[in-house]
Amino acid sequence: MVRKPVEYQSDVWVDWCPGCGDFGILASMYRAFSELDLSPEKTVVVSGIGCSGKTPHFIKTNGVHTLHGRAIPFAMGIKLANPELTVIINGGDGDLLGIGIGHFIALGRRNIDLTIILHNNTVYGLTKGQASPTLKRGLKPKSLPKPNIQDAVNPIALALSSGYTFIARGYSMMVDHLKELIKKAIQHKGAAFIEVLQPCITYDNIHTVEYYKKRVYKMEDSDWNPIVEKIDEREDKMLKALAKSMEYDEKIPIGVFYQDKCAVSFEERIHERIPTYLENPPAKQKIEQDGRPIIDNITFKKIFNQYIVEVE
Amino acid sequence: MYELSIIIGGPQGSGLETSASILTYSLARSGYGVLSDREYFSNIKGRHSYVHLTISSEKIPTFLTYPVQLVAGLDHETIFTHFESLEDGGVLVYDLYIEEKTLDTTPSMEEDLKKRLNLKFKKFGIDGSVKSLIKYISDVKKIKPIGINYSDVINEVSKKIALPASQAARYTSSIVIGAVAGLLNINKSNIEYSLIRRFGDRRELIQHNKIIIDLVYDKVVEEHGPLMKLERSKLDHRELMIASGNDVIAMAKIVGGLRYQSYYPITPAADESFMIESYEKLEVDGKDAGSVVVIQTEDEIAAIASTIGAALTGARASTSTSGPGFSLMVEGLGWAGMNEVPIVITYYQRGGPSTGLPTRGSQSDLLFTLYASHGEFPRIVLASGDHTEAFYDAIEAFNLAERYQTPVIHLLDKFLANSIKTLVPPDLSSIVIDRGDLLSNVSGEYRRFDISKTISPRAVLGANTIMWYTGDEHDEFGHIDEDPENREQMYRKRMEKLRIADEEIPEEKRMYYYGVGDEDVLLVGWGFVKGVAIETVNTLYTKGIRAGYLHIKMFSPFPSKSVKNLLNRFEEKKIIAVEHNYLAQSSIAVRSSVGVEIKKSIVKYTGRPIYKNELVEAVLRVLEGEDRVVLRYGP
Amino acid sequence: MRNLDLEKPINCCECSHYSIHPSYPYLVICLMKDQLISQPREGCEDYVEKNWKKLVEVLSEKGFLYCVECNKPIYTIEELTKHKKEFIPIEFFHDDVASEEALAAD
Repeated sequence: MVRKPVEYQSDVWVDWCPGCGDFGILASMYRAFSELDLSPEKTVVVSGIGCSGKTPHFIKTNGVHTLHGRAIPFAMGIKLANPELTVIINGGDGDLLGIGIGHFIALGRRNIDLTIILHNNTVYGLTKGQASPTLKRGLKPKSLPKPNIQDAVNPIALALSSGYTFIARGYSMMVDHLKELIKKAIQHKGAAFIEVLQPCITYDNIHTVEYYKKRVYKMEDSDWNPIVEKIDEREDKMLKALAKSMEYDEKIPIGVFYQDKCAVSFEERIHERIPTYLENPPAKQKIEQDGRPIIDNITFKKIFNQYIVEVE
Repeated sequence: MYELSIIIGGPQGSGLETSASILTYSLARSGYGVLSDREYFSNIKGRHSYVHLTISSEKIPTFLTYPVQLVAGLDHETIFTHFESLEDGGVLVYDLYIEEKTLDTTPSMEEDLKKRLNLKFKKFGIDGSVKSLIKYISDVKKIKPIGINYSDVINEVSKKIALPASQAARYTSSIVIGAVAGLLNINKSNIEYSLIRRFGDRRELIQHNKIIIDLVYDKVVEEHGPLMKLERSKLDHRELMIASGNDVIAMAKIVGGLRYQSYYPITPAADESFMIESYEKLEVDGKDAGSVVVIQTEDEIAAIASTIGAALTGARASTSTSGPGFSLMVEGLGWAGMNEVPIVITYYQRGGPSTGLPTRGSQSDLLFTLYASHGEFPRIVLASGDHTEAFYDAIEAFNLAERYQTPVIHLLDKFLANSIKTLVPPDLSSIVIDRGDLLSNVSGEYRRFDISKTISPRAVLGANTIMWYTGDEHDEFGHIDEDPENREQMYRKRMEKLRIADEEIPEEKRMYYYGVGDEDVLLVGWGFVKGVAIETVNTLYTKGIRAGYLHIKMFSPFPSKSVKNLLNRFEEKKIIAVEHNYLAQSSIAVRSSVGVEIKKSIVKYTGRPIYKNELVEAVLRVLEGEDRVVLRYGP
Repeated sequence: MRNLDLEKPINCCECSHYSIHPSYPYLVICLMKDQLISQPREGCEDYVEKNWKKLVEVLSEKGFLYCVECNKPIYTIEELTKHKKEFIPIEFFHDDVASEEALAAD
C-alpha cells in the first residue's frame, strides 16, 4: 500500500506567507515522496536557515534543521554514516550559494548520493529581503534601498562545473513537473541538484508569478536529451547544458539540464576501499560486546604491531 | 649513565625524522625508556629542526631537560643553535666539512638568533665560524668535539655498494645514527632490528643504511670509545609501544569504536586522521574487525557538521583539529549542544592567536574551549597529561559524550601530539564502552527530547521511528518552539545534564594529586605540564623542598570539592600555577569554579615545552618571593 | 455567472471576486467592490459563483491553495472539499508596501 501525499504532512502549522512559492515545493515533495513510497524512518530532510530551513518540520519524515549554509555537510555525515538513508537537502539561495557555497562545490566534487532542492527566490526573506547571490546586478526589488551592486551566480552552470551528476530546474508553481524532477533526483545515484524558481510574495516584486508565467518553458517539449548513457557523451552533453544554462532572460528553461548515469558515487568509491562499507556502514557496526570494546589486548597488538617493539 | 639528554638536529626534511625513529626503536629494543620532543618550523624543507630526547635506563622518562650531554648535527645551524645547550664536558658530533661556515653563510637561521649569537660571539672572542666556536667550547666548556667528514663517509660507502654518490648522499643522516649509537653503545643487532622494522621489505635501504651506520659506529668507538655508555636497562618490560600523541589518540579512537572521523588538514592534528585512515579497514587474522570512514572535508565547518550528522545516525563520530580550526567549528559546537548530540572534538593546542606558531606548543586555549559558542549548554572538557592518559581519555570521551548526550572536547597540545614516547602497551581489559541511554527499538510515538527525563532516551536517524532536530529552541519532538515555559524547561533540561555529570563522574578521575601528604608547596597544572611537574617535584624533594603536584584533568564539570580541599591545605603564597600560556588560565578556571585565587604562577609561552631545569629554578624563585616567573629556555 | 435572484442570500465564500492580503491574511477583500468583507452579504449584484473547476485546476497545477479562514495550505482535492464553504482565493496579490512592515526574523 503506497503512502498518500497527505501522510507526509506533519502537524506543524506552516508559517510561510500565504501564496509563497515554498508551498509549491512542499507540495511537490509530498507528491514525490508518496509516488516513491519513501519510508519516513529511512528518509531524512536536512535544511539550512531561512524560510526554506523550516521545510523539514512540515514533513513527516526525519528532519534535521541545521546551521546557515551547512545543510550539505550535515547531510554528508548522515548519508556516509548510514548510506541506506534517503537524504534530501532543502536550502535557500543565500544559504546554499552565499554562506554555504564552498560546501555546494565540495558536494559536486564528491558526488555523494544526496538530493539538493534549492529554493531560489533571489532574496533573503527572513531578514527582510536583502539581495541574494542569485539576484542580478542592477535589479532593485522593493525591499532593497539601492539596486543590487553584485553580480549573480548561475546555479546551473556552477553545479555543472562542480561535478553534480544530476542537474535540473523546476518552477514552484508547476508542481507536477517539479515532482517529477524531485523523483528523478532522488532516484539518481549521485549528487543531484534542482534549482527551483520560487517567487517571494513579500519582498520580490520583480520575480513574481506573472514574471515566471511569461518566461518559463519546458525543455522536454523540444528535442532535448540531457542524459549521459556512455562516458564519451559527457563532454558534448555538458557543453550543451552549459549553453542552455545561459538562457535566463526572455525565456527560462525548466527540466533536466544534465544527468550523468556513468559516474561513480562517493559511496561506491568508499566501498571500493572498504568492501564491507555498504552492508556494514558506520551507523550499523557493533562497537561493543557486553560493554567492552571488540578489540581486546591480543587484537590490539595484532592491529598495531607496527608500533610495538619486543624488548630484547 | 642512567639518564641522558641528547639533541640531534639538521635541516628539515634531511632525514632527521627517520634517524630519530631508528634510534628510538633501537633504544626501546634495548629496553630503555625514551621521550622525544620534535621542534620544527612551519616549513617543508630547509629550516632548522631538532629532536630533543630524554633516555633512561631506570624508568620511562616524562620530561625534557637541559643541558644535554650530546648534540649531533647534520649541519652548521645545529651547532650554532645548540652549542649553549651542551653540558660542560659534553660531546658534539659534527661534519668537518662545515668548519668554515659562519652565521652569515646560514641564511636559514632567523635574524633574531643571529643577532643574539653575534653579540655573544663578540663577547667570547669567537670569529663567527664553526671552527672558532668549537675551539671556544672545547677550551672553555671542555666539550669534546667529534668531527667526522660526512662526505668522505658517503664517498667510501658509495664505492663499497657501487651506488652513485648522489644517491648515497640521501643516507647522510645515518651517519648521525651511527655516531650516537656508537657513543651510547647500543647493540648493533638492535639497530638492524630497527632498520628492518622501519623499512620492512625494502632490503636495499636496510642494507645501505646498515653499512653506513656500522662504519661510523666502529670508527667512533675505535677513536673515542663508548663515551656515553648507557647502563643496562633496569626496566623489565617485555614489550614497549613507540608512539606519538597523535598515534595514541588514533589507536584509542579505533578501540573506542570510532566509526566516522572528519577533518581539515591542520598542524598538529592532521597526523591523527592520517593514521586512522591508514587503519580504515580493520582486519585481524583475515576477519573483518570493523571499519572507519575518514573524510577530509573542505573546511573545519564541514568537518564538525558532518561529524554531527554521522553522530545523529548512531555512529561514534569525531573530528580532530587545532585552534584555528576550532575557531571555525564553534557554531557547530553550539548546534550539537542545543541538539544534545554526542560528538568528540579532539583539540590539539598550538601557539595562537591567529596562525600564531603553527608547529609550536601551547596551552592557551583552555578558556576558549570552556566558553566557546554563544548561548549556554553543557560541555565536557577533558585534558590529558601524557600519552597513556590520552589513550584512556580518548575512549572515555566517547563514553561521556554518549552518556550525557553532549559535545566533549578532548584537549591536548602540540607537545604531546608530536612527542614520541616508549610506552607500556595499554591494557584493554578494563575498558568500558558506555553508549548511554541508546534505544535500539522504539515503540509508540517517539519524543527525542522527552522532557520527563533530563537525559532523554536516544534513538538515531534510521531507527524505526522519526524525529526532528533544529538549532532553534524546540519542543519534545524537535520542532521549533518559542513558548517561554517550554524554553525554560528545555533550557534547564540541557543545563541539568552538567550537574548530573558532576555528580556521577568521580572527582578522583577528574584530578590527580602527586605527593605523599606532607607537602607544603603545591604546583598546579594540566596537560603536558604533568610530566615535567612530577619530575620537578621529585627533584625538589631531594633539595629538601616538599612539593606536590595537582593535575587537573577535567575542567568541565570541574572537580570543585577535591580541588578546594587540596588548595585549602596549602599557604596561599606556596600555591603555584604552572602553564604554557600568559594568563595562567587554569588559575582563572580554578578561581571561577572554586573561589580560590592562585596568586603565584610560572608560565611559558615561547612555544617550547617547559624543561625540568628551568621549572626547578623557577619554583625556587617563587618560594623566595617572586609572584610570577616567565620561562624562556630552549631554541 | 451573475446571480439573478437578488432576494436570495449571497455567500461571498462562493464568489470568485475576492482575494486576501498577504500581510493581513485574515482580511478578505472583494476585488470587485474594493471593499473588505466582514460577512456574507445578501443580494449582491456583483456575485459570480466561484468556479469550482478553476480551483481544482489551480490546485492541480500549483500544488497548493490557501484557506484564509483556517490559515492553512490545502494540498489535495479531499482537503479542498473540507474547506469548500470557506474563503479560498485563486490568486494572491502582491502588496508593494508589505515588506516595509515585516521584521527581520532569522
